[in-house]
Amino acid sequence: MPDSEIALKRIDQKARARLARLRRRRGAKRRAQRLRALRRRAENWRRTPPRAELRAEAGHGPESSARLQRVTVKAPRKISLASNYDDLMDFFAIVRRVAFRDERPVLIDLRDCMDISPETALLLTAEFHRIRYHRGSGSVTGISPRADEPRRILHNLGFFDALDLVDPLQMPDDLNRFQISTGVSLDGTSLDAVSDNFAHALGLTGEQRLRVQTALFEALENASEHAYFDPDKLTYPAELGRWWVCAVTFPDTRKAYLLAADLGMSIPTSLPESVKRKGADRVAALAAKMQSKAAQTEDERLLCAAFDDGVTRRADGRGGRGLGKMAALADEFNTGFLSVWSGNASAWVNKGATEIRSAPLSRRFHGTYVFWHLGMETAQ
Amino acid sequence: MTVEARPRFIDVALEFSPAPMGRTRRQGRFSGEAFREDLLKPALRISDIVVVDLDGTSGLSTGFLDEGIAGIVRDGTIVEPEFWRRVKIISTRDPLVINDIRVLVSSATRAVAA
Repeated sequence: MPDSEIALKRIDQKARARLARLRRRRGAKRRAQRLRALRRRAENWRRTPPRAELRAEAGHGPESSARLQRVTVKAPRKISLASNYDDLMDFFAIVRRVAFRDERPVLIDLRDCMDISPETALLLTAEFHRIRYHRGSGSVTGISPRADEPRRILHNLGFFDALDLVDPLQMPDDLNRFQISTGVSLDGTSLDAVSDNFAHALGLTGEQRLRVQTALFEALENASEHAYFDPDKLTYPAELGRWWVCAVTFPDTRKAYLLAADLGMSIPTSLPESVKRKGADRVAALAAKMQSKAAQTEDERLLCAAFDDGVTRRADGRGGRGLGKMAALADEFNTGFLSVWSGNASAWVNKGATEIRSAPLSRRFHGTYVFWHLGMETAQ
Repeated sequence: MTVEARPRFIDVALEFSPAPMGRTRRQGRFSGEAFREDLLKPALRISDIVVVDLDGTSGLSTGFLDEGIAGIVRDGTIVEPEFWRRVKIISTRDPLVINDIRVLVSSATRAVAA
């Protein structure tokens, strides 16, 4: 290589090295400037919340908008307490969790529901009424079933009215068959329509009619007195004193069903407390009843004892209160049946049965549900 | 206040409610407690004999009878023998209600004695 080229190359190398040094110094300077700017910004953030947090406080932003997002809960295809209890209770548990724990609006999707029993439709109405009472009218809405029969049953029970849903197919009210009544305080005159409907379907007059009405009044009285007396023991929020009653009647076949529900404390929870308040002799009587059936769970024994609560059975057959009176009347008709779901047990008695039968429930029933059937048709 | 010898009639269906229900005022307007405090006790203060006419009512529950009628024995207003001397119950439509009241008053007497 000629000397001139070597020299040029050396100059070039020096120049490049110098340029590299200059670049490094400028890069360091820029890096230092950038670092200072980041530190200033961090200091500002510490003093002032970032924009996202300000938006969340003002009701905007991802965290608060998530709480406003409606949750869709799909209802089971078959809604029946007797034949699909587990799925139904799981469904209610999800709805309650979304509404009360997560505090989010709920959309009940009933589109695929093909079968709703009238007794369970009453429970649906009660549950959704409770959510609306505590969380507001927009907290639960629904999509009505596509099938006509379940929609008709819900319509006649006032389900759509309770949720402010518009039934797209206006159906005529079948008021001869369904009569729902609900209230917080006890008002016998408001229950007259229910008990009249019930008695009329069975063709009852005179003393028998009075006894049916008395049994109904007492059952609701017991619910009012015992189901809500200790609100701290309620698992879910409840409107204190609220009860629901519905008479499903079939005058052509002279049979009727009376459905009654409350969402307060279950009978196994409230019965020991209420008996304690009535005196030592009642406590002893309850203890004696519970000892007689050791094979059952405690809830079963308490529920069966509730059938026998009150005045000792008398020769005139007038003993007992509430459930006891209902069970006695079930025996006097051609067909009769009384079943109760409450707490972790269900109990039932058929016409002519000598003892009350019971079974534990796989899912807890938060409240009490009474299903009472009387019929004049000849049992087959 | 002087007690009149002339009986005081209380027509429960007309003067109180045709379908009274419940024990306490908290449970409803036409409860046993309301009947006892607003009608029965004032009547006993002004009259030696009080006639309670239950005809015309429907569905008289044990809670209403216990609180509304037997309650005057339970709260010490009157003792059982005096109750049956001063309070006359009319229930021609459902005579067995009087048996119910008899049992409830006995129970109230035992509760007071205990």
